Amino acid sequence: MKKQLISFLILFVALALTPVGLALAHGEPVIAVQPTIVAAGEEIIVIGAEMEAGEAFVITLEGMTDSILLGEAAVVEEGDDGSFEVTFTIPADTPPGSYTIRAATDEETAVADVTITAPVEAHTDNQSAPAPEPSAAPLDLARPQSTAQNVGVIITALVSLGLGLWLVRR
Amino acid sequence: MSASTLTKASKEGQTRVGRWLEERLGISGIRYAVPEHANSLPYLLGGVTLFGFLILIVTGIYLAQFYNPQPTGAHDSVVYIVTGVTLGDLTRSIHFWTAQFVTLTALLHMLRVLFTGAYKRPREVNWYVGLGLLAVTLGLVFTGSVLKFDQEAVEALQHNAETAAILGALGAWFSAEFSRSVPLLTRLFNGHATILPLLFTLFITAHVYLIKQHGISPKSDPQAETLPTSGEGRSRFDIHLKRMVGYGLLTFGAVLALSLLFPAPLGQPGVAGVELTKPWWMFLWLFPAEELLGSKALIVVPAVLGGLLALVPILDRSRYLAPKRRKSLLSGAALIFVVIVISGIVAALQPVAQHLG
Ligand code: HEM
Repeated sequence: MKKQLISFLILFVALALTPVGLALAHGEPVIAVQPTIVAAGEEIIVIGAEMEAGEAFVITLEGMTDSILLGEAAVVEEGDDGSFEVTFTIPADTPPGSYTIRAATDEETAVADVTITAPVEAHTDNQSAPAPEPSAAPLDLARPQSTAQNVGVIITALVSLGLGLWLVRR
Repeated sequence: MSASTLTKASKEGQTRVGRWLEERLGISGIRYAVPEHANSLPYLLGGVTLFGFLILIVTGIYLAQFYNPQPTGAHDSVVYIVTGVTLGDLTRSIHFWTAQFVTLTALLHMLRVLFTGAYKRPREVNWYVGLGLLAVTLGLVFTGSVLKFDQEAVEALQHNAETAAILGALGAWFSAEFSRSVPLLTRLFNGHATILPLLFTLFITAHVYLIKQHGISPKSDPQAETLPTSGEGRSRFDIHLKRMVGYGLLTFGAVLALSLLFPAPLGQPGVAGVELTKPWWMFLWLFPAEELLGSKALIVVPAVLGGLLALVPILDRSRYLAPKRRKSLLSGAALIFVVIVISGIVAALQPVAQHLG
């Protein structure tokens, strides 16, 4: 019994440490964004590290609904590792909110958070957004339809109902 | 642990894992006696409610990873949950439908307790703990329905603001002015995801402790009198628990089917200052009263009903459990129940009315 417990603990610790080991062994790329809160239309600096010299990362700004391509960053050699430091301008029409900056190659990806606030300067064209019409209608949502998922849900529902019936009748 | 208890423990569990668990957790301790009638559905409604709360906690934790409680981002983040998050639409629908079930089973559970006189000595305090749980449940439904920040939610928030204004200092927490640094929506989200679940945990712990302390109330036969019954009865708690989980799983199956057929609704982004939608069924019945009395009905009516429920163990103190021997209390309750149901039907059929302003 004691042996079983010890081997369980060892397995648990080993599993828990696996990601750390992987990260140390391969040097996972990391990025940082400065500043972390920026107004639309302003500049950010994306700094990458723990990369291989010669790699090129595609930098995108990802919001809740869409993602904007900011540009590319080429990794230059710095000591043992490669790194980059590139400046991008956040498009002035980016809606305020929480975003992630993603730096990705085909194999690797690194992300950092950034919050975008309203543009500093007021619109000069003096055109405010039209006030939305209030409506009681449901929103027309593009709900993802996946047959595999629906089948999974139906099976889970049936298993749940069957198991439930069996337990209730025991 | 002495050698003899070790042997005893190892005999009870059949598998190695069972024995291992038994020695460390003493799970067989839940095999205490409970009365047979406690295994029927009316006496399992509380347990089904609790099972539902477990589903709500799991799905709620997932939703909270993607929900943005800022007024500028809330509605968009719900759209994102539905359209962009893996299993987001399904998780949200399960959360929505389970919430409907839980409210229903909690109310039916209360009616069972009322009907069988289970609130009588020595179970009065647990009746009040139950009222606390009901308040928390309705609070969770209300705060939850506001979070999606669509037209219906914004209207609920307006009613919230109106009643807060009527309550004055008592309603201060519910008004936007209460905190300059945190928007009302964000504070309601805190209520939904932190404050109310914490209160729920406290209340349910007390509730279950008191149930164990007193035992389930005796069957409400014509001659039955209220008594503590702890540890008495011909069934066992492990059987009772299996039933509870069984009905819980049946509910979950139904919730999954409903989630697939009728995914949780979401309206257009809310616009303040108009009234175009109706609230959910648990609040809808209040609206004819609002028509008659104005916004203050939204405080007066629930307060009066809550007060009456609080009076139940004080008014009905005979030792008898049988409904036939408690006719006046139960007919009063039935009358109120019928008025509420009719009110709900009237509100459901009525065109949407402007109450605000
Ligand atoms: C909202 C969440 C609630 C949960 C999860 C819950 C859970 C439970 C459970 C598991 C039981 C054991 C017996 C049974 O299932 O019928 C029970 C018993 C009881 N509950 Fe609740 N309950 C809730 C709300 C209420 C409400 C609203 C009331 C009444 C105001 C109430 C009053 C009682 C009383 C007095 C008992 C003892 C019944 C007896 O001994 O027969 N509970 N509750």
